Formats: sequence, structure tokens, C-alpha cells
Amino acid sequence: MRGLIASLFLFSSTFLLAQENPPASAPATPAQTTSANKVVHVLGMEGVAHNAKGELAIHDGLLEFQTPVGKSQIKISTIEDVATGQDSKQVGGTPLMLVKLAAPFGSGRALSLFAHQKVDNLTIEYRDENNGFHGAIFVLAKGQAAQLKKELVAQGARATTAISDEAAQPAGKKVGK
Amino acid sequence: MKNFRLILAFAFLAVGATSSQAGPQAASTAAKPAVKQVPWAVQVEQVDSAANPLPATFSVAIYEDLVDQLMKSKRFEHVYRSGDHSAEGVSNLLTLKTSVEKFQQGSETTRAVTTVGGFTKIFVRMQLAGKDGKLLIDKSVEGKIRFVGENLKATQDLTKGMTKILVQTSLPEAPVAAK
Repeated sequence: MRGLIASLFLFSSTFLLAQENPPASAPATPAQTTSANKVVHVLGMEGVAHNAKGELAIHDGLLEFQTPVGKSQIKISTIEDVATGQDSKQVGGTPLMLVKLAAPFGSGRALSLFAHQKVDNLTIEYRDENNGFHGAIFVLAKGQAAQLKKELVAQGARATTAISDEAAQPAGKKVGK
Repeated sequence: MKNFRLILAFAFLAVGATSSQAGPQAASTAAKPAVKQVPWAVQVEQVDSAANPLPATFSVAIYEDLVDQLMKSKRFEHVYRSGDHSAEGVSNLLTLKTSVEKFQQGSETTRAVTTVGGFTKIFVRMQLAGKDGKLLIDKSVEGKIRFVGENLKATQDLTKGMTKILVQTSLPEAPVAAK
């Protein structure tokens, strides 16, 4: 019995040690990826439909937007400006719109007060291979745009306005180019 | 029986009146000329908001919507983006400049709750010029969103108006065909 326990202990400790020290031939960890889920592509990205939903990720010098249908990429080195902003967006879609219309004595309007949520905008200005100017707009959950902008700037994208300056200004009063 | 005849007569009269009203409308729809493509190419410049600040989101939305609408209109042989090197050798190139004159950002929530406030309005000046700098079009255009919809829809309204002007204005003969 003691022999059995000892051999079990030996086996389990060897197994645990093997787990802690991976072999030298194990593949290197992949490059760090920053991403945001449930992003809406408003317009501007080549090959992606307007208002398509997907995941926006930054990795290997690329800004990638992936939808269930496909993906599109922008080289971060071609990005001339990154801007963030805040806006409010109506939630509930068509069903809520119908409820608001059907509510008596215009009381549906009061629903609008609670049917809005704050969102972030991320605006990217970039150049294609012919130096043609492009712009792309994404809508993200609140607080995600600044994080992505930081990562884009860290990977070589240019930005005319610092994040702290944008945060200090109220929405809609930011200075364009 | 007399009543039945009277009703029948009224029914015939009503049908006749409706068809006589619909006739000219149908004819005018059929006679509407298709958009004629002119042998000009156009290069759309970035929106100039130096004098009147505009959020980058609106600036980009106007530019992208405008490029999109111009391509769809088929008014020009080719639509080039700002800075596109392939437009450099094109002799029949026009340049479209857009500068912001006034911007008023509203709120979707205010619009939905009050229905009388929170409008978003954009006023721009559009200038279409030839290579010699001569202005072919110089007009002010307004884009707005008043009731239901996101603020950015004002840019769609604006670019629709701009495209309509470009389509309806007759342009002089192009010097030579595009390359």
C-alpha cells in the first residue's frame, strides 16, 4: 500500500513539474493583441459593409476588423490620424421604436430618455497604396476607444490630438484638422 | 335601380378622374432623362474645417459619403481620392473642395424626447474647379437631421444635396478624354 502511495506521489509530482517547465521546443508566445468586441463599422473600411458588426483587433502592425463574413486590414504605419469621441446611441431598435409610436398621448417620448446609451467613436484617417486619403469610423462600447488609440499610437500611428486633450473637451467640440 | 345607375355613373367618373391625373405623372417619370456622364474626372479633397471646427467623425463621414455618392451617380468618368498619385497625369481633372461654414451638433436623445430641438446642422461651401483654378461651381449646401436618426445622418443629407448639384449643373466640354 505504501509503495502504491509513493509511486502515485512520484507520478503526480513529475506530472506537475512537467507542466510547470515546458520543453525548450515549445512555440513562442504569439504577439500581443489588443481587441474590442461588438464593434460597429459605420463606414470607410474597404470591403466591409456599412454598419457591420465585428471585432477590432491590433496586432503585428495591423488594425484588423473581423466580421463573420470576412476581414479587412489597415497597416498602422499608413494611419495619419486617430481621433476618439463620444456620442449617444438609441438602443432597442425597431421594436422599441414601434412601442414608442404606439404609446398613447406621446408618452413614448419619455421612453427615449432611458433608451439611449453612451458610446465611443474611433475615427481613423489613413492612406492607400496610391496615397489616396481614406477615413473609417467605428462605434465601440464606452471607454474602449481611448485604449485602442493608445495602442495604435504605440505601434506607430500618428495622432494630431493627444488623448488627454480629447477627454478634456466636450463631445462635438473637438477641433478637426 | 335608379340608385344603382347613379352609383355606377359616379364610379365611372371617379375612375376617369384618377386615370387622367395619373397620366401626366407617368409620362413625366418616363421622360426623366438619365444622368449623363461627362468626360471629366474629379478629385475629392479632404473637408477643410480649419476656420470652423468640425469633429473628425463628421469630417470623415462627409468625405467618404461624398466619394461614395459620386461613384454611384456615374456623373464623372473617374472619382479620385485626395492625394491619389494616379490623378497627377489626368488632363481633364476637376477638383472638388469642401469647406465648413457652420456646424451645429445636436443630440439624438433631445430630438427623440422633444421633437423640436437637438437638430444637427452642417453648412458647407462646395467649389468645383478646373486645373486652371477657374470655378465651375461655387455654392453653399446644408445638411441636417431633424427627427429620428443618428447625428451622422446629417452628413448623408449633405452629400446627397452636393451630388444633386453636381449632377444637375452642366459642365463645359472637357479638353481631352481621360487617360
